[in-house]
Amino acid sequence: MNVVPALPLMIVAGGACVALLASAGPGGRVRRDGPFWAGAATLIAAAVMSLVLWGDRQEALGGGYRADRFSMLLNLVFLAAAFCALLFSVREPAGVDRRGEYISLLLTSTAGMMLVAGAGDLIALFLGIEILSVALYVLCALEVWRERSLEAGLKYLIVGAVGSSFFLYGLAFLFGASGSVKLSVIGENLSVASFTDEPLLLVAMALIVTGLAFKASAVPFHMWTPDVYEGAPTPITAFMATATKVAALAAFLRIFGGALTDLVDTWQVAIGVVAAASVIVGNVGALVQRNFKRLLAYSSIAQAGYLLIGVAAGTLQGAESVLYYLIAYTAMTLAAFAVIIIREREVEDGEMVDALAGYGRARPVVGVVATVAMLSLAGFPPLSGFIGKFLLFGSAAEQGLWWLAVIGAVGSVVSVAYYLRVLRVMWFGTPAHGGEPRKLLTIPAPVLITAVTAAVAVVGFGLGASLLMDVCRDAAAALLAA
Amino acid sequence: MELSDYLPIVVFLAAGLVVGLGILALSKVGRTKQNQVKGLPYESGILATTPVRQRFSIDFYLTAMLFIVFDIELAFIYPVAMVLRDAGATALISLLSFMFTVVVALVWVWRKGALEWR
Repeated sequence: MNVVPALPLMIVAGGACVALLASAGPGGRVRRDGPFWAGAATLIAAAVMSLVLWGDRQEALGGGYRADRFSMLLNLVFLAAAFCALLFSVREPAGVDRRGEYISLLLTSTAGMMLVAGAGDLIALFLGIEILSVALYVLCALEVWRERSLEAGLKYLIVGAVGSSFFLYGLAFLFGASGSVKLSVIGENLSVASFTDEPLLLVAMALIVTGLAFKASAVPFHMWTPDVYEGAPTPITAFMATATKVAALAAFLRIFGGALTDLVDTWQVAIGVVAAASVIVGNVGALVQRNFKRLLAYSSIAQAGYLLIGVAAGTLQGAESVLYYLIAYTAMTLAAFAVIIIREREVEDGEMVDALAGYGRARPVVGVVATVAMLSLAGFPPLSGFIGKFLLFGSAAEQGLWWLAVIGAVGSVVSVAYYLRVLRVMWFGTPAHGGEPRKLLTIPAPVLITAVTAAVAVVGFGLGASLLMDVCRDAAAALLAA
Repeated sequence: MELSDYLPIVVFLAAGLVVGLGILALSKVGRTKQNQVKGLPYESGILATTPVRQRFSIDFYLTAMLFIVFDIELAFIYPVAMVLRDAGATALISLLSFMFTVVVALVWVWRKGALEWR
């Protein structure tokens, strides 16, 4: 049994156990600081291991896990998002009160995501989706003294369970139609015979798209997103908005871009319509939001739409654009959430857009971070958000999906309105009571460092786009490698 | 597989619909008689002697939860034990790592004091 390729996954899973045991360990110091350091060390070790394993495909656990450039690149994205969530959680109420549980669940969820990205068969894929989801249900509800947090956890649990069951049902049909659970064998079996009219396969694809759309919060399965994002502890929202979306898109790419790539004509329109609907509903919904967390929730629905445009293209170029945009999206979303995390600890209603009135002038560093994040999300050149969208829409247009590219472009023009409104309030707004924004506390250093690093990454990924694109191209090629 | 092969499923669904709607429709036909016995809570034929909304300790819930976890663990151990001779070290290591995670959870539950009866 070869376990070396699965080592990053195992390190993270083991780290979750260590963090949990540390919180129940002897002595106040170990209990207080142990979980955090265990978590940080675990994430760094797993990232190093992922870099070591960068290369051609190696299979582990009887083919259930595949370490290739695709899964290792996404491992780094998951680990970076988890690391940022860990740093955001310093002094977060839930993170202080239940350190071991909090960090252990965060690591468990990360392990689930890594399993999704590297899944070699349908069973591992489903297990990964479940591991990441179940840990997140609990994390959403972890601030048990806050009704909103409980509501978020319950809503996410119910909707997530529905999504998972659709997904599992779809996988069962896919197994029935193709005769194998191994992703590579499914691809081979389906490419030799003409399967396009097989009703089993059509049902399977419909159910799988539905299930994954729930996880990626794509329209029409997005209704839970604003409520859950608003209610969950903000570092967890940041983690969900980035890493969970990356995992869902990774599953989309593994199944549709990898195993079912020969049937592109069958599923292209379906995913295209979901993408277009997400772009429209997400952007229009965000226009009227007064709560910054809800605004980012609708924005993340729209971003899921942009990403799915690249999946719908069904080409290697589409897959590499999705990977590039996933990385850029993770950086800019983390930067945006850092602003909320900083502000909501200072004032009661810190998650409202109006609470940021004049905040840019009072705290220029935070203001610049927010500006970079918002401009990149809206797609201003030369930031990475612009390049990512350009690549995504380009890959769709290349395949003759002009309508999809046009909807995406119009959607991002609409999005400028609400992203810039945040910046207007921040730089030119006056607080409701006049004068300076209330209560400026010292920002915890880890939060500020993370925020600045994320903003620098947004700019860096834009300026160094060609380097990152080369990496993404190698990773996308691994999807189809025999 | 032809589409007609799925006919039994359609028949099954139709039968379920007919029975369900039939019972619903019959309940609207004719007169209904109310009496005390019909209004009683159904407890498998035994008369209910105490109020149903009793409060009982949350510890029952925790204990039941732990019982289910270890019960299911046993359900995994047994089949592995049956094929251990053929499956060899791979099966043993997989099973041990699975049991390890459950033991970690047990240690945590214990240290958190969830096993103390309050």
